Amino acid sequence: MPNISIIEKREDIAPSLSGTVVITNAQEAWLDQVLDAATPFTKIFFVGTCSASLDLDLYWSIHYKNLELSFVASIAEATNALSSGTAK
Amino acid sequence: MLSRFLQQTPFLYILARAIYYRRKISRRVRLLCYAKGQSIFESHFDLGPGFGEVEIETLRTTMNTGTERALFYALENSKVEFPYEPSASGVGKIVRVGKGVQNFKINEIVAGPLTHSSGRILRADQLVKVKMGISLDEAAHLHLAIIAIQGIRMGRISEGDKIICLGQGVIGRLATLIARSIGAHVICVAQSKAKLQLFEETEGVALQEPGSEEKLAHTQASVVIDATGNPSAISLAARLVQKRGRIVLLGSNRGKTKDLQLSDFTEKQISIAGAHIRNIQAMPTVLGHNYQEEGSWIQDQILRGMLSLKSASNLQVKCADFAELYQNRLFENADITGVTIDWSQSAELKRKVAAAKFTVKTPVNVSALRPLKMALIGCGDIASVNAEAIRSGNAFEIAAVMDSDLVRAKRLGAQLNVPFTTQYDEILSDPKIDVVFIATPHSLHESLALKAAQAKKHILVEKPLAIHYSEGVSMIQAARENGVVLRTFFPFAYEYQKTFAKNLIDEGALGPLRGFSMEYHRDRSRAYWFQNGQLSWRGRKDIAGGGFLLMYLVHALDSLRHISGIQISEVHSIYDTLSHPIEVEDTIAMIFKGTKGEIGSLSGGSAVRGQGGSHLRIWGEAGQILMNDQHLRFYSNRPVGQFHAQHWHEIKTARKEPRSGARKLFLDDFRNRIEKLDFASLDESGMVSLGLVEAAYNSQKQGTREKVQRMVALAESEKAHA
Repeated sequence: MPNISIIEKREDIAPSLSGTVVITNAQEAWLDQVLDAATPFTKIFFVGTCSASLDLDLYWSIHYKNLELSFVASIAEATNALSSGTAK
Repeated sequence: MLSRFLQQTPFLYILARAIYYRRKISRRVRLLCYAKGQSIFESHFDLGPGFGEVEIETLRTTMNTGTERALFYALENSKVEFPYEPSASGVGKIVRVGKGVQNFKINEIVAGPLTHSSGRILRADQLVKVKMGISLDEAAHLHLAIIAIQGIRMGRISEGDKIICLGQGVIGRLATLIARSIGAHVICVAQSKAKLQLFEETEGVALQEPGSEEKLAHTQASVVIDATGNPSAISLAARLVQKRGRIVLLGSNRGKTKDLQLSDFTEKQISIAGAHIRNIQAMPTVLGHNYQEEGSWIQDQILRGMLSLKSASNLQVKCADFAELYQNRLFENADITGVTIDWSQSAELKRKVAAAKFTVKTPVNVSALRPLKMALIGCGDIASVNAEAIRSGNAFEIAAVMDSDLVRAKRLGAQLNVPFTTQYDEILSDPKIDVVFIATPHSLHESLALKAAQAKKHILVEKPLAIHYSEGVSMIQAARENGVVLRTFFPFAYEYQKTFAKNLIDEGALGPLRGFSMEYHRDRSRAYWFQNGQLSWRGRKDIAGGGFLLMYLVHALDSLRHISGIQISEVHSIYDTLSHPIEVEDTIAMIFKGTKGEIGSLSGGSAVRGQGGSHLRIWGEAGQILMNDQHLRFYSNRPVGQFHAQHWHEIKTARKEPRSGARKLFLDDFRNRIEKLDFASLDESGMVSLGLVEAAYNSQKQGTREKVQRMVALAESEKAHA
């Protein structure tokens, strides 16, 4: 079973994130914090509409840490992607 | 003491460490980028391979032009610190093996993250063995190919996938070739058609070509690899990727991506994945390949005939030619995707680098011309010093001396055994006299010089040129109108240590200049300012025009300008009279801004007990120079001839300064300028100094930072006489 962290609010963000992270209610202010905490190869699912904009630091974090960000419509879709083993 | 000595002598330092650690010494020649936009080849010593390390003799390196350009110019996000050795993909032969290395043997051919260097010491686990049948040119690309393959892994690309590769630099090209080797269908997108033609890509899209927008509107792929480094490329990638597709960030972004709303990604339910080689050892098991396995797989693809890396670089150069090509911004050429450097003749490059010598160039040619006859105007203390300098050379011959004070004129005339007079007109009407050397109280400089110009005598003026800038302009105009040469006597700029410093800066030892700080002190007693209980001319505002700044600090400012070429554009000053009841300042502090953004300071006083001497520090992006009356020390990120990089070097310049040397050199220069009737410089030294002095005095009066308008005024003067 993969290591999944569900983040519903800012307080749920651990200092270090790994495995799979599902963000159910992404706010712009969180995104930096999530990407800072993420360790290399962490998979991050954004459920619903993400209102953040991508700036240089976000780009750099994704590239440099080999993160995977997936934007999905619902938690069910994230679960499907995980169970099929790929989010391609 | 020993430690300092060793640190100043790089070879002895490395030798001491080699003995201590019982390791051998390895010498190589390497490319070093020592400041933004600056590079050089240098000889470098390393300790031989330690535990788990091997020493490699480089055979080929390749250059990722995009990354090297970004680092060389310290572009945004490049996170570079100077000096650095540009990293490269390369192949070489193992020449030494450290303890604990099991899998590698001497003479084995290996590939990995080398640098543009004749050799390199690396950890064995950073290397890939090169298989039989792989050419050196292809092996040289293996490290870059392992970088590129991270994009394939993170894109989870497999046979039959349709993908788009944005960017056809060396990494984009390698990603394209590898994806095709596993059966993916790749559409290439590049900026120019030329690059696509280079690779014979018939299906690709050139963004600069008309119709590319329309072509792209009908192009979609399940995976888009962004290998551009262009911050706006991700927006294009988001447009080109199909619903539920994936974007792979393979190139390092060199700037800010602006206004990219992630809501756009939500709508298409896109995934974004980063692909950077630094995490290869942490690769999760689902993707699972380490560095050696990736290198081995790529070579197998080549040996199976599925992959060729030969077209990844399209320029081959020899290492001896590479230094010049690199400094001339080889990577600026958009038609070059990658460069392969052949190091097989590195011995020649080593010899060339070792032979480089820094020598101090004589600042002026010693005049071999007929000596001109000179009259000394003003027979005070400085006249004797100047006379000694004149007589130490052959540029001028002292023909007469003049002073309004008969006693002084007679005394100096007798001392020099030349005629004397109290009448200036006698000097001016003497056709045998070619030049006057004015060393009188400052308030007389202008009128004496104007008369001399009218009498067609060349003019040398003891500093300062005049009291006011406007007087200087009149003097220059008069000189030009009468066809005579005018100069202010600023000999200190010709001192050995200043010539040494100027040569270092001219060689680029400091890189682009950033700042300077100067201190200049003198210990002047009451006797200097008062004679027979009366305030002497030096302490009187109406005659001297100014105090320590006008009298002494002009030397420091002129030397700074001469050594560094820094042009001061703004000045802010504070000054006061603190020690003796005189009318001019004896203590001053100034801060400056240069025309290229340099920031500097100068402070000093004429009542610093114990003769404080002078100190000057000039620094730039690549190093600094420190000077005082006795020696010069410098540090540079780059080698300068025999002086090694990243070490302090101390030159005891005082020992090399001949008596009257700087004054004599100045006089030779002045003589040469007279011969050429060189008016072009308009006595820049004197005028720049006056402009600065005037701005500094105004700064305190106005309480503002004053602009130095010297260039405008000089240009106007020049225009008036054009």
